[in-house]
Amino acid sequence: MLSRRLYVLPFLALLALIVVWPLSTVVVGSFKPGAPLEHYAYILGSRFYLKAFSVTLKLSLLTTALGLAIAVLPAIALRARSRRLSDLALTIGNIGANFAGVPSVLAFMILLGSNGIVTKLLREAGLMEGFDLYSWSGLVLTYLFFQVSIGTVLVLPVITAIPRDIEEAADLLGQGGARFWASVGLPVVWRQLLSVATLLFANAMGTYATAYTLMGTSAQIVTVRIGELVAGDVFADPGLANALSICLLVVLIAPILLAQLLTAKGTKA
Amino acid sequence: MNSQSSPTPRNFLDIDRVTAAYGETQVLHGVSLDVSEGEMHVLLGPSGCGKTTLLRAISGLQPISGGTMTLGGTRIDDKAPDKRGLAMVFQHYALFPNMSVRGNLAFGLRGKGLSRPQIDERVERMLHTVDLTARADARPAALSGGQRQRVALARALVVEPRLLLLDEPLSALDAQIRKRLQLELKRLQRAAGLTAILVTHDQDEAMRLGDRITLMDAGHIAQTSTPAEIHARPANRFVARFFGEANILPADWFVPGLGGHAVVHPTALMPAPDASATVFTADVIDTEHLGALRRVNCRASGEEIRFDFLPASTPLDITPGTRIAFGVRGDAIHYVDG
Repeated sequence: MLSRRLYVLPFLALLALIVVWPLSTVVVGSFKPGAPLEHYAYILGSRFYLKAFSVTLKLSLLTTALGLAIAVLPAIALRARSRRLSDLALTIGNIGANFAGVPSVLAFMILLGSNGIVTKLLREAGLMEGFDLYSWSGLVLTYLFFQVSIGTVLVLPVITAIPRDIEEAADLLGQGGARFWASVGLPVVWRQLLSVATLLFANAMGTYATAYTLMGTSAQIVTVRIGELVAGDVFADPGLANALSICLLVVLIAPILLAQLLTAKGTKA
Repeated sequence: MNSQSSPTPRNFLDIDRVTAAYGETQVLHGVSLDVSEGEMHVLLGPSGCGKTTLLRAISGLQPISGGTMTLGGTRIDDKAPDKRGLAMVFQHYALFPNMSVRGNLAFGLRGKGLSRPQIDERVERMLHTVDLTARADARPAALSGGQRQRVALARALVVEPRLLLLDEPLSALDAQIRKRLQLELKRLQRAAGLTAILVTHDQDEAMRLGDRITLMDAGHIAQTSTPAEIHARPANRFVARFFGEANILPADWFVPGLGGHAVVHPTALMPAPDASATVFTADVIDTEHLGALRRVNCRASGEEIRFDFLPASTPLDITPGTRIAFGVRGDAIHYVDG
């Protein structure tokens, strides 16, 4: 029994090294010597940083909801199709998920940037007036790229696992299609979908490269603010960066805990 | 729409030369079958014979590539599954896990132009019929296998289908509950005067439940008959073999010069009283107890022979190695080609 417990040691050691140690450094570093809560007070009193939190939250919630919805619909459509098509969708989703960050944003710039190929074509056709990739809409679009990709990879197996016969039973009762999905299909897997949503949300909240590549420091999101405080030449303030990180962690963990609480309650009922 | 309805349709369900395929593989090769109103018709056969495909083709869940199907004089093969007026009980029940028993029953009644009180009334009546009133608010996960099966049956019956399709509905249950539910199912079907098609691979279940049995083999119908008839007069060796126990012996043992085979049931063999009544002699290999019956396994001229007798009424002392002379009543022999 003891020897089997020893198998976990490498994992625990690594966990201590890459999670506990850095995290505790951040926590300790967020308290200013002499005035421990000053960084936190500053953040809570700063419209600049509060705005960053509100933009990050809005962006994350919006792209999570859209990403999930966009991933669920094709997953439902692919259920009725051959296995090969689902595998193809999974592969594309996987590629998309790993192509995120700098390369995906560069691709967006080439296609949809101010002088992008698609932008020029659409402008000539008189469309896409007023669209600017380097804006809120651009952020939503580039975030959606990886949210939908990851969403597809995670949602497809969940939707595929819904037993085929209950869908057929609903079909025969004249309650197929959208009625089935609204009354049976999606309610049956809501816990799994909520878990996927939590993951997408956390992913969006922590995204840095995509926003920074697209808009530099003018991206009004928390990770970019942290980044400029750590790496910035003019504004470097690691203590404040640590405090911002802890605030981000709290904002991130709250919905995750809520989701876990909800699913746990559902299991008991 | 096809309007070949007659005043009194003898065949309630008429399946005419139906073909179906999974990709390149042809599963049904022009199957024709008639089912009468109020009949419990059993589709029986080994796995892969096409019985479930035929059932799904009737339901509309499996597209057909040829042939026609009419129900009560109305063509149904060109209709969507929910427009065919039938209901189905699935092998693994296919209950909606997020709904209570009551919710499962009511689900199929929504959108049928019934008022809420009408739906409630029908659901309650059905719950009473299958004796599940006490479990009406339970989720399927909280029910036993037998109860789930009854919910599945109730959900199918509550929509008052013209035809009930049952896809191995009892195969997931253990033997005792299974036997009880077979009786219950038969009683419900009789009481409602319902036409039903039941798929099974279990010949005992087929015998017990079927008014008629259709035995399928590799996408074809091997025979359609009453249980007694299919047992006593199998159409060919496949049918005789399928009803496992029969002895299939060379026909010329009984009629010299006759080709083909003779089907003789283990209970139709009798130890011959004298030499003139002897048809063949066999060496006893071993014996087994089959409840009230005693089974004797013997061998004669390379053929395995099964012989059953009632020890209570026929005192026989049989031990391995004994040689027995057998006689057979002429009318107990059924000859098949091939």
